[in-house]
Amino acid sequence: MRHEIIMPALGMSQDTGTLLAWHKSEGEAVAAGDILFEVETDKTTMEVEAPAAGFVVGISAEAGAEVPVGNVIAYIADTADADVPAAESAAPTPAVADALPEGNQVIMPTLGMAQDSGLLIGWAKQAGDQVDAEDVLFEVETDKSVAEVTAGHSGYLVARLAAAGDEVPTGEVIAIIAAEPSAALIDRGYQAGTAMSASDKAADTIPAASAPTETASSKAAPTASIQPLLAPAGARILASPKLKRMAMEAGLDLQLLADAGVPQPYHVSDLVQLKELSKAATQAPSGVFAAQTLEISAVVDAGAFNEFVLWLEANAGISNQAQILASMLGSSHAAFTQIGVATLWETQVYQAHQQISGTSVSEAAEELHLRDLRGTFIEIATLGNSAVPRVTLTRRGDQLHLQLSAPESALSAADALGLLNNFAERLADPMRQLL
Amino acid sequence: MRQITLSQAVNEALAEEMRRDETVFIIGEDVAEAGTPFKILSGLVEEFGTNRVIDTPISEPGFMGMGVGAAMTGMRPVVDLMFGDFIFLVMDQLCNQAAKTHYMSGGKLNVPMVLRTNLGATRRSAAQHSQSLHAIVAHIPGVKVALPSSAYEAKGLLKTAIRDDNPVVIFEDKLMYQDKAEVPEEEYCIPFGVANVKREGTDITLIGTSSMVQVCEAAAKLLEADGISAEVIDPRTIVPLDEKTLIESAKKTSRVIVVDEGHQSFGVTSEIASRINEKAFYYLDAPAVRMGAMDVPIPFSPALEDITVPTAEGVAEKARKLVRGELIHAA
Repeated sequence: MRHEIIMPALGMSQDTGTLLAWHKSEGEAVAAGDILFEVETDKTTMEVEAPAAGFVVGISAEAGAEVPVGNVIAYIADTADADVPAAESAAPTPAVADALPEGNQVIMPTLGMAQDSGLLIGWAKQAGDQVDAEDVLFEVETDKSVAEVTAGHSGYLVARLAAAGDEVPTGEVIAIIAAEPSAALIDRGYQAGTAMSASDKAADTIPAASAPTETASSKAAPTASIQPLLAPAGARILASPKLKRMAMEAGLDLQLLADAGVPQPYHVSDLVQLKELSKAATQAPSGVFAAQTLEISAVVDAGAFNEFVLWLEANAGISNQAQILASMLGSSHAAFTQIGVATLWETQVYQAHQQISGTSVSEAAEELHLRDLRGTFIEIATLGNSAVPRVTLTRRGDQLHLQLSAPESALSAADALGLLNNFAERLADPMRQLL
Repeated sequence: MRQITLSQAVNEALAEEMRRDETVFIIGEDVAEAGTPFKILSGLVEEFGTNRVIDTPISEPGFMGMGVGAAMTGMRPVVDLMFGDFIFLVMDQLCNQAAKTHYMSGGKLNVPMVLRTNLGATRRSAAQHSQSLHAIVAHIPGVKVALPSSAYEAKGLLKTAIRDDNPVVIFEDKLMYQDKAEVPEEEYCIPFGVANVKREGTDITLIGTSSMVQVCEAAAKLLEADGISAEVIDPRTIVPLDEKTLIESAKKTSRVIVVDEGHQSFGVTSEIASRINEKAFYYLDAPAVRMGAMDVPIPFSPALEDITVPTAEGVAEKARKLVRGELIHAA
């Protein structure tokens, strides 16, 4: 059995330690608990004990050397002449990709001499938060106690590289604090739905669980954890009673905040953002409305209709083209009889009849609207949505263009196609109308 | 206005009431010549004689029982209990007899007695002489409980207590006997059930009892520097409790910390925070939070004793967390 002796991390913001002196030499026998060497950090001097009995071999750092935290500097082996691997020159690689944000690295500290990992109980700060060097950043459980670890650097927490419940090797980078805030945050601080062996983490409760019972600490030592809540999608929304009431009174939906990824729980200070999000949401619907409108166009030669108008005037004394059009349009669909006909200058509703002469002025509200723009220069008119189906009639050269615009609720697609086609047929062959 | 110590204020209140009403008398251990170990009652036996300032043997149940009996038969005793911790010795007399006699006698008997005792830790008096047990007494219907936070309150509340026809327990803070405050020369009484808003604020309400009022005021000053405006309220009496003032404040600021020197669990802080939760729920932007003494026997070691009670820095730090919307430890 060979034990690695590493340079311990003694401070939260420290990444090297100065080896002051060896108390044992190469090949010397040691008992568990014997002092092996002394380390100096920026604050204190510490004596490091041997974790096991054996022989000290493979010393790879001299007194006075500055050694990166986590580096192996010696071994304790069963015999004085055991083989040792070549001295490590590189610091242990953190278990993260190279794409880490710039900033001061915060490592999992060594809190006990025989300890090589710490259980991360919980984060006190969220990714993106501003932190002061003295702020508690996270809590770690060792075999003896729960320690609050301070940030050690002031700035912005741009990366959280472990989640509550993770066992993190000492010396591993666990967080990064940068001088400037960053939009690109790395946050592994919360894992939804992962089975945690240690603390109890239902997504919608604030855990106040004490440390795992195998440590059997006395009741006098409070070991609650703070979990910032990032609820997974679909979970209930946590907000203060006052905010809930204010949102309800203003008719605002807190789900907008959740969808926008604002971390919970929400307070009155989030109301401003909620109002912004709500305004943005209500401006969407015109697109929604437009999607429900049917748009159909048709083209016919204008000649037949023009001749028909002249013929009617000469033979039936009917000169009101609106009346003619209303009759034709009304006959194009069984359901519509109140036809509103508008030109640029006047609008009139007609009760349409199969017979043109029977089509008369009406006081009722229109069910179908015809916009007759033949006498104008207007070629295409898409004029927004309305509840009543609308037909727009324009003339281009020798052709009449028809455009039907109808909300889906007023007319099915099949009906709409039928209506416009029937109307177009009548315009193209008006004599049929008389039959 | 003149400034006198809490001890002098209590002395004055007793002297004034004893002059005013000859049925008022004092009974307890070392109350006469010694004037109590705290030297509060000095001079009274000289003025009123040993018939009205009565030294007793060391027997709390005994002289408390005498007080209850005297009150039932027409006197107005002020029983002196040297340390609040001894209240456990008189619980039957206080809670089973004095508290219930008016009701159980169908209104025929009154027990117009005052039990004067104290609370407060950090005197290095160890676990059995440092407790703040007012919550235990307040729990019993039929007893009123007053908690003066300064010399001014001590005099006014004690006079009201003596004139009240019900059993009243008044807890003075033993650490404050030499603290001075402005006390008018003219006679005054402070009514029960009227809280005192000592400092107005808008961001958070700090409700404190007894010496915790000063702790809250100090915390409010610290919070000023952070731009947080704290309102400080002294309820003065917990039975009857001026709920209305407390709820209105909670609705105004939307955040509350209740600070009391009794143990945090099952105490005054729990009761007040609960009522705020019930009656101001939809106005709260943060949970109403308790800060009491740690749930441990009060240590004898000074370093340990001092961390078991709420401090101004502790209150301020908790207030900052609530204002920022942070989750707090559930300890």
